[in-house]
Amino acid sequence: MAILEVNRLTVAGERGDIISGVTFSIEEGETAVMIGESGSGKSMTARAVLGILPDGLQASGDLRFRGESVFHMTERRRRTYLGRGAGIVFQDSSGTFDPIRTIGQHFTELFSVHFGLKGQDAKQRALYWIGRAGIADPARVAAAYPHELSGGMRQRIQIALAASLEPELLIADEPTTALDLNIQADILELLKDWKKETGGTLLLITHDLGVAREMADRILVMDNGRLAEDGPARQMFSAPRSLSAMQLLDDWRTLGQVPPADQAAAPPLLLDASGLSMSYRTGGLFRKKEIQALDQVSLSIGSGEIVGLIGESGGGKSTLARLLAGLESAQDGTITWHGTKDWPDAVQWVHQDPAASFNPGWTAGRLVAEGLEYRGIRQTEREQTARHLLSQVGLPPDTAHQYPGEFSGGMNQRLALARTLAVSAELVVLDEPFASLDMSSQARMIRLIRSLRDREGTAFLFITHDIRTAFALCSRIYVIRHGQIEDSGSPGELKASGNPYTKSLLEHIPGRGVDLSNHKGGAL
Amino acid sequence: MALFLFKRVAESAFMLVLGSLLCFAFIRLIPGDPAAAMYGDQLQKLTEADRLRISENLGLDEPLPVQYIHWASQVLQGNWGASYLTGEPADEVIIRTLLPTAVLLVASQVIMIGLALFFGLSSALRKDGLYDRIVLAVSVMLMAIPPFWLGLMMMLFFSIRLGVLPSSGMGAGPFSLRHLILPALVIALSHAGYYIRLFRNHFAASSSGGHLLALRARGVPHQRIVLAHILPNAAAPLIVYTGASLAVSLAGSVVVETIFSWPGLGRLALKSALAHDYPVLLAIILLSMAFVILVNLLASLLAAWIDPSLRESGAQGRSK
Repeated sequence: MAILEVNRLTVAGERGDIISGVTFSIEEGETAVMIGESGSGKSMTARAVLGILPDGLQASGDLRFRGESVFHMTERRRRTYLGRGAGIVFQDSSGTFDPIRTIGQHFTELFSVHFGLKGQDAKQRALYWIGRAGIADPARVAAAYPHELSGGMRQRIQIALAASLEPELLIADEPTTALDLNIQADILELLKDWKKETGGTLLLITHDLGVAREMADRILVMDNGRLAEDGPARQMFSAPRSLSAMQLLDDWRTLGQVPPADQAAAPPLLLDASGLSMSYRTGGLFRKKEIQALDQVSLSIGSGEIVGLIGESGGGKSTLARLLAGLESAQDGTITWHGTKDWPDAVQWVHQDPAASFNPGWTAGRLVAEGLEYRGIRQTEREQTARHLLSQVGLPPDTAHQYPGEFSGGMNQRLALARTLAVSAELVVLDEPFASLDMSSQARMIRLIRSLRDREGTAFLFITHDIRTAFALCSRIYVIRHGQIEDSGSPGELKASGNPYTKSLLEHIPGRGVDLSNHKGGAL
Repeated sequence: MALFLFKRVAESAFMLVLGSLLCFAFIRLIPGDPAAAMYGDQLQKLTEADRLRISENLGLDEPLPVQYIHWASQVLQGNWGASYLTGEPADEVIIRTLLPTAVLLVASQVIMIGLALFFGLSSALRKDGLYDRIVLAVSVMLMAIPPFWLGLMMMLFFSIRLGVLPSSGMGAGPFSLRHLILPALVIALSHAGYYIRLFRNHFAASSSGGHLLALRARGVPHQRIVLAHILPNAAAPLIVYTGASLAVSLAGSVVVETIFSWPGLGRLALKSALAHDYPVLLAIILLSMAFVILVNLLASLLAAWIDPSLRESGAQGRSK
């Protein structure tokens, strides 16, 4: 029996339809995964199902939960439908908690609202559910404030919050995006456990086909506000019918593909760092703690080489990147460029959130050519160069007159790359450039970075927690952990590596078991 | 928390010392001198020797740093010096004015916070609507009106035209509501515009957080979201601002007390400044400063008690 029936659902905004005429249904007990690029209307569909659309958006069509029209529910009925009928887990784990309430209070409030449960009973129940989320010390976590927990912990708690109301349908909207891969794996495991134990129905929204492959019974492909494809997961992966599904699969394979090993002799050395050490002191007046961010780290990058640096959050990746970009100097160790100690001025750094590093009052054209201003190049010439550089990174030259605020995350990453081209960077440090991009944008960025390397001979240091994208992009990879280089080598060497940490990173790639060799479609 | 408290108290003490130093120096920049103020018309009859003797008697002939150390050591022993005007101990002169000013401040704060809370929250909940715009227009107007003009206009209208409220003084007895209304209202209204805007923006910001969407999605009723989440979240910064608003109102009371002949600290401050009554003026400034610092300290402690993330940023923020 269908638990959720969506019939010709349309969500209209001021600038036209965001979702147009989407029809699908979800059967009791199944896991349906909705995939698509960002902006394709996935999250908006979830919000329409719950009737919590942003102001100014109007839903029409028919939405039935167990045969009952969601649009015609009374306010009182809707409140039990929300939470107990359909629960939701959001992507942004820090923004979905009230910052001034403890984790325990988040649970007890829901128990009081939904079950009239108060005092000790509610507290006991909260501890029970926190424990069920796989948290070892529920009492401590219940007393903690949201900002005191890690992103992965908060996401577990979010799932426990939704599950504690025992919903019949659980909607998880990008629950693993922006988390480290090993934590992603834990979260997916937790969702699977929930399903196994309760027999509930799961609607999972993701841009990551790996996640879809791992979880889905059925796949819904969204594209530009429309449902492009709806069918069993096996079919989508082996014989996609729609263009959007084929495109998504293609992008996913770009991410899964290891580039051919460089046949040429080793490139001339661009950068050679040895024995880098760095420690920070944190804590208050009385409890000083010394944190060894880097401990005797050595690495080298050749001219025009794309080198990866993988590790978990807090592993020392960013510290190392700051040292190489010359933003800080190491307490110990040496860095040489082209065999000398002269620091080249052509090291560029691309921020994790490039939009945050742009002056919002400047046009894209001015931002791109900023480096040329300091070299005293005339304005007309700068404008020409900016337009040329924008087209080099795949942006229309006319975007030179637009402001970065109007761009998507992927476009801002391109803009940041164009800035590095303006000063003919020899080495570009990319700090988690893919953290906020969907899978398709990631694949497009990988192609762009490769072609820039081929054309301009730029070397890249690619910093990420995502071993998958590192494999797809880099010819050599360093694995860093607790401030030390744990493992290094080409993607092929790392795959065969005996290092237990590298092995565990590989195991956490979602949907890794899938064999795509028999699949036809556009190759790279 | 202990560290947070210690840091804030140390900061406060430092500010007090620095403030007293600045005041002591700047107060001498007021044109004229105490002798001129004391003797007024008879000043012409004084010889240069007389004036010098007056200065010597008051201890004003010594270098400024020496004077400051002398004054500060006296103050630390609880001796604030005598008023040049009446010869009474400065602290006694001031204590008489404290109750009237306290009454006025409390009344004006209650009115102002009430207005800011009501109009701030109600316009934030109807953000960008017609009501919100009207409230915006009125509050901008209130911000633009100078308090002395507002005071005179209200006095003209309520006391002279309508004759319903007294125009000056505190009235007989310890407390007269009718005398209190006008001055309290003028202080409140002259700052209310700013605080309505501030409160409105805070409420609007705290009602657009992702956690409110999450609460709605989990079936928490709207009323509960406003009362248990939006209000407490906005409360921490608002308490801090309320502390700051007391300082503003205290400063505003100088003008308003003078217009309405309210026998409070503000009017005394003006009188002492005009008369170069240094001991009284310094004591008033120091007292006001201590009061403002104390209120702000309490406000930030209260805010930290409400918002756990403030505790950490206060204690560790700058040690990184």
